[in-house]
Amino acid sequence: MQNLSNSKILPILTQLLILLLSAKIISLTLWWYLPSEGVELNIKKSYTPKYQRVDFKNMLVKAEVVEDVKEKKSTAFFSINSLILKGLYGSRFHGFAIVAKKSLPQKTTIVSVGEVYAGYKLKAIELTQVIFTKSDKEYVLSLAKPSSRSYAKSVSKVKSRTRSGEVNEARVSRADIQRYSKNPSTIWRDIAIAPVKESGKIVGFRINRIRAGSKMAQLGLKRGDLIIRANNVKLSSSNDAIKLYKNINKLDTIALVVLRNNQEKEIIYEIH
Amino acid sequence: MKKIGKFFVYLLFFIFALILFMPKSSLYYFAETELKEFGVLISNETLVESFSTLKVKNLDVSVKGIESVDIVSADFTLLGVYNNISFQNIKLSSIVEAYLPSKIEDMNIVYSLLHPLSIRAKAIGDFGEVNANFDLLELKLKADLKPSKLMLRRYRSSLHFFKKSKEGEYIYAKSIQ
Repeated sequence: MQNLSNSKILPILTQLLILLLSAKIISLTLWWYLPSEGVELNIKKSYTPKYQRVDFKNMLVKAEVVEDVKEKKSTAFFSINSLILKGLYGSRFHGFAIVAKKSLPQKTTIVSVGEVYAGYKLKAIELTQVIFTKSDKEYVLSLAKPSSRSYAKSVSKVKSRTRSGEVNEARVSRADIQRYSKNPSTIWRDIAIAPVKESGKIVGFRINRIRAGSKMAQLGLKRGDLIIRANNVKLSSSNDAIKLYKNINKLDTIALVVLRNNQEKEIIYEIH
Repeated sequence: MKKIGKFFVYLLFFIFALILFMPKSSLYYFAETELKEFGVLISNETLVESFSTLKVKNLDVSVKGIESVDIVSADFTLLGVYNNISFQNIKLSSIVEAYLPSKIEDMNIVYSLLHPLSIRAKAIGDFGEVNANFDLLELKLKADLKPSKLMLRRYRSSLHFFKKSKEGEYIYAKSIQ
């Protein structure tokens, strides 16, 4: 029997083992220096609150401020059923309600939590209702549903104000938006927008060109406008603009804040 | 002669061992960090290593923060003499969809020692078929597109980037110098 140490296979096996070991050392060295995990995209959840236009025209009548200990006595008696809740903002003990009397529904008043209106003290704000207190009793007032008649009235109001040019608001056809979203090349034919950076960060999107007579030109935007916010979301990346573009079909209203001649200007579009 | 033959056998064995032990996932992560410099991020993927290949599934590719492409699977085969990256079932985002049909069935990028001075790529999808060649010496990209009927019918405006040849192919050429 031939001794294993005298075999010709042993030096070959040794050499192959050395090569294997060398390859393993190289791969371990690489493994040591290379990253052990990849890069992930962290998308911030887009805070795109639904824009809601509130008519503040008749809301300048401030409610009486209540003193903590004594409530001011109301001179006239009002049942809670004689009040309408037109809007609310806030949660629980912070915020305000927009209320009116049924006899004068157009004359709305902003009532903050703790304030008194028509003898009722606003205690808390819920999702769709507010709680008033009077003589240690709680009264719930729910949001009034807008009647189709009043909606029609409000729409016509928007139209007339647009014509007068006092307010920067316009109505946009959903069909136009769908046409633009189906053929985005037509957007770039009508308008040229480029991001504007300050210290390496996008601060807005500049309108460099707008085709006269196009739908875009009818929207009240002008060459040189810097769009800085859309629906209260700061446009600080291309992604913010893309997200708005992607969700545009779901929106009822778009509010753009543009910087024109170094002055902020809000333009509101109601999509119908 | 016998010694030279023996040397090549050992060399092949060493390369074989190197491919076997190569930390493929770590190399992939390194490539990911390099791509990050160009604003390209790959997320949510799962990696499966095998002897010579790395299989990556469910890649969500974003470019400069914009989710742009979803890839069902990608195979990386890096053997030194023959290197191939193959992507299957690519879905472009709805943003890109406006300019191109969104589905690409298959895409292959190959670099081999048979053609040491060029990287070749081929893609087949709803847009048609494209064969591209990147010249490593002159840093020139040339792509020949055979557009599908869908591409010709609905995305004709995107073909403006290409020059039409006499044979009916659409050619795109760009120098990166």
